[in-house]
Amino acid sequence: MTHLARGALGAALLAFGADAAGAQQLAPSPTLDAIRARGHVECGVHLGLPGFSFANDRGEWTGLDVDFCRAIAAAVLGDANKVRYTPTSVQQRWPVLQSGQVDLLSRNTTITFSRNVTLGVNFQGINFYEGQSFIVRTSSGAKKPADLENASICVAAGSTEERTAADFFRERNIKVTIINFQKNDDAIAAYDAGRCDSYTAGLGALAGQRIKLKTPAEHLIMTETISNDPQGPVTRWGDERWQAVVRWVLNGMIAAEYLGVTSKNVDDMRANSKSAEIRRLLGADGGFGAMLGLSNDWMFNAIKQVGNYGESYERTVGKGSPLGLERGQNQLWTRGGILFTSPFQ
Amino acid sequence: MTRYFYDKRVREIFWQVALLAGLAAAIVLIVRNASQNMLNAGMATGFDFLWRTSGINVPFVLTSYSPDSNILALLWVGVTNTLVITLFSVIAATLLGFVIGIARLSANKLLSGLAGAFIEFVRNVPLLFFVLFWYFGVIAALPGPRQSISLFSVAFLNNRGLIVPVATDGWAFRIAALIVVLALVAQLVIAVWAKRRRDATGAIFPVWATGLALLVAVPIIAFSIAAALSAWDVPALRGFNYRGGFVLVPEFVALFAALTTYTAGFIAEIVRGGIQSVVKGQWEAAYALGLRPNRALNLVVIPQAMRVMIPPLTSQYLNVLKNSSFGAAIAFPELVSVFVGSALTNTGQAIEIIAITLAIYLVIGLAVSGFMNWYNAKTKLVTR
Amino acid sequence: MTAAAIRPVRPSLLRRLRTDYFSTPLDALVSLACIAAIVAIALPLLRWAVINANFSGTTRADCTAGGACWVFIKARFGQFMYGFYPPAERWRVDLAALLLIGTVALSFWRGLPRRALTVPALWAVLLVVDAWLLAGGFGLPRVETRQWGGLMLTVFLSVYAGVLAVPLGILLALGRQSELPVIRLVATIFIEFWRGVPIITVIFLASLLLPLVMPAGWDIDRLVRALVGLAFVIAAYMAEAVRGGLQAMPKGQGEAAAASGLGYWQTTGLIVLPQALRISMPAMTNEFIALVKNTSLVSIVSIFDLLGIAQASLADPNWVGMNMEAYAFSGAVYWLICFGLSRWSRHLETSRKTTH
Repeated sequence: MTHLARGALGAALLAFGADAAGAQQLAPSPTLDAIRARGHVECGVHLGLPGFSFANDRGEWTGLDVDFCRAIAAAVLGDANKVRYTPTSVQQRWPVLQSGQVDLLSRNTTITFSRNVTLGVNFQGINFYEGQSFIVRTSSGAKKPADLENASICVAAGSTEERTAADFFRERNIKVTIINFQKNDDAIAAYDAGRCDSYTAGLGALAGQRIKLKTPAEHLIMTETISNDPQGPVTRWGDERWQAVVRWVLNGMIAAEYLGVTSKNVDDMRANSKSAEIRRLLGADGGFGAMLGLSNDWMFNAIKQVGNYGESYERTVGKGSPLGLERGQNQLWTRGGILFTSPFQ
Repeated sequence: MTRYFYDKRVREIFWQVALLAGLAAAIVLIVRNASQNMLNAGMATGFDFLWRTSGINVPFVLTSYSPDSNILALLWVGVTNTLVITLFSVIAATLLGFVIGIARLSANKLLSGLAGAFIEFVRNVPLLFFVLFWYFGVIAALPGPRQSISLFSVAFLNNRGLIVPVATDGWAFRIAALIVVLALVAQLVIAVWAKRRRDATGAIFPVWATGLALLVAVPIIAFSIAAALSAWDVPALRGFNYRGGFVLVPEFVALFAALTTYTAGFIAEIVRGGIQSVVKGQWEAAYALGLRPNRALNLVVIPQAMRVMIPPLTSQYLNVLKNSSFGAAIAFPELVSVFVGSALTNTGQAIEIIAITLAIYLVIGLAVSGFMNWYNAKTKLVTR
Repeated sequence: MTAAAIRPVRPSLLRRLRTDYFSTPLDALVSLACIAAIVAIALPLLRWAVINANFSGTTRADCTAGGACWVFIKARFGQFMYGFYPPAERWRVDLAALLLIGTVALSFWRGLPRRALTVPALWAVLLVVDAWLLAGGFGLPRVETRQWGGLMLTVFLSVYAGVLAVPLGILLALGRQSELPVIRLVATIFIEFWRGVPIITVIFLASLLLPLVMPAGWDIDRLVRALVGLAFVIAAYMAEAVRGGLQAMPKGQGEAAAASGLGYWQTTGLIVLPQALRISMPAMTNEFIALVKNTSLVSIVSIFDLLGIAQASLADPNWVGMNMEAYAFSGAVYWLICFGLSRWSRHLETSRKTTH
């Protein structure tokens, strides 16, 4: 009750333009202070997964997860390029986050109970609904996971896929050999060299990894999935205000797509839109940015420089990318998918 | 007061106490930081995780481990695999190293040049390079399961490994193994007795002949009988791969080949140095006493060369133990791979897991160097 | 007598071949087997690496001859050498390398006055200047360590870990030889601990564990962490090399110095150490070669050294299937460096033996 009251008071003060008074109400956020002090966001990403986070030969990062880091930088610092990326392997990601070397992980990481509870990390929403599946050689004739009797399967050690696959086949009494590599790249290289009959990962990751194979056309990604792997950005416990920033930048990107705000029309929308929610989202009304301790054009900057969720998706993993993924589950709930957001009110 | 400081003993005690105090302070600081950081981060601590179900599928298991076992059993899988790959590589590298080291000393310049080229090549390239090279080389060179190379229709070689039949019931083999161990003990007893007799009377007993009989013939006969008495699980192609039998995975083969070739390069240099360290006069003296060349080598040169070779050989053997951790790079499930790789990420308990891993390597290493030191002390030249 | 008469008769080539390689049937068999082995290894290698190789072009499509596609190495050469270091700033890496070469040359120049003092001083200056050149700051644009990579990173890790390990190793070796029991025990435990554990676990320790035991808010660069881990391990090995030199010294040297009234540090610094270090130089060089090779392990914690960048470049969708080329090239570079160093160590050994 008191919390709500304080929030309402803060909102009321801000509505009167009392920025300074509002700022004093803010809980301290060491992470935000540190980001401002050093002038960039430290973002932990995947070592190299085309479509999600991949560095080209000039060291420039692109991908869906990278876009999210960029959106955070745009929202906090006003410039999407003020990000430093720390590429992390499956094992490294947790110590890197826990010890404070990165402000957030945006690294196609599945939300699980034990990670949340025993690793001291929080998941701030879902930016990709992933389902684990398998890639096989077309010549093998396998069409669905149950066809993989006696197959050897390459997987990254310590990933959710390692245990999901083991559980799946054990429950069905299907005998398989699972070979656990320290890095995804090693696992996919061994699969390509013929060590394994299959490589397992999420559908999106498989689409990204397939590009790395010698002859992608000779491989088939199974459509049947054996898990639901919602993935999203991760932060450490503590510093609730920073957690809220990460959560609401993600919500904001999805909301922007729902509300029809794109990087192209965002200027026009901020100036002329009649929709109250769009005006609050873009900082024309409501002073939402200031409530988080950011500037009010936080989401305006993020959408202007990075785009809404749909734009980012199509550019990195969707039809405008070599991966060519359908929207599928990652379509808005209003258009047949399950991607959901919370209102900006 | 200053008088005390000039006293050597006081000064010595002062420095030692200062060192101890500094170390203690550093340890306290580290422990405090770690516990504080982990508390702040909300990370789980303690060793309870060892009894949790592991849920990890391991492709090369010599114990009774299954994914339903606990993490302690997974650790044990890692330890046994580390020990097995180390043992096999040490034996093979010693043999190969001796052959190459002696070839390096050959009068035939082609042979010694070839041995020299091998040594210079392997010693100057990172081991990781060899591990990757052998791994992808081995996989690429072998056919897929459906085009397997069949060895008498019971064993099959393909890029999933060497699949050999395995006895469904092991009692006959356990008895055979016991007989082999007994034969080994008998041979050791004979060797010790023969050496005593030689030292006392000078008579030479053909230890090699009994060795051949006890260590080669007896195992062959024992295992053949055991094989005939056992029921067999013969591998058969079903679906993707062969089912049944025991699979020697290519990761094992690649790591074994890499450790063997790499270490053999170092052992060859040790062997060459050891033999060269025996001065020429020793050979000449042995000949003058009427010993034939092979007797001179066995009785005079090798015992003296061994004395020079044992300390560096020990450190090479310990290197093999430590280098077996390179298996982590190619998914061979040794200690680092299964424990620091899979278990650490599944439990997130970095401090406990890395501490256990380090402790295991230190204990095994101390045991090996303890044994070699004992052997070294036994063969040491007694100076009077 | 004419000159021709005293010149020894040089056996004909054919005759030398026969006596050297075909003197007995067994010898002939061995020689033939060696020739067969050389042909079996060298011919396919030559065919792949030179005869059928592709040298010109810019993309994968230019590689049509069937052999090695060196075009890939050409296209990626900058990355193999400098990692992701910004191209405009790469002159700094070159300059740092030149300074390194100059310092090495000066260290072994006998004409340098007061070498015992100037050489350590030179290296100390080099470490500072090169670190500044590579990392930037103080007038130069900063280059993050995560942009470093390739051969440059391999050399950086080797040189810095090696140079840091030498003084630490000397102190540890002296500690292990000390008459004070506590100091001897601490030095022994330190040495045996780092020598007893695999370097992979040390690198995991430095990368996964070190951040957790630092005070909150302290953030050590991950390259520095790997560097410290490597330096500790190599210091332990260097300590053993130095101990070998100390033990090889005749006891009389130290006793004579002590008898003439010199204290422990004077005896050690002026009399014992200079001689012991000269003896242990070849062993220390061998440890340094081992260090150069072991830096390749940092690729496991995703620091892109030469081998790491070779592996990473394989993931490029535009250049799939270049495994052989990437490994052959990086392997050849490692080999050249380590082989050169080992020749040098052997030269040191023989020159020491002849001067005594």
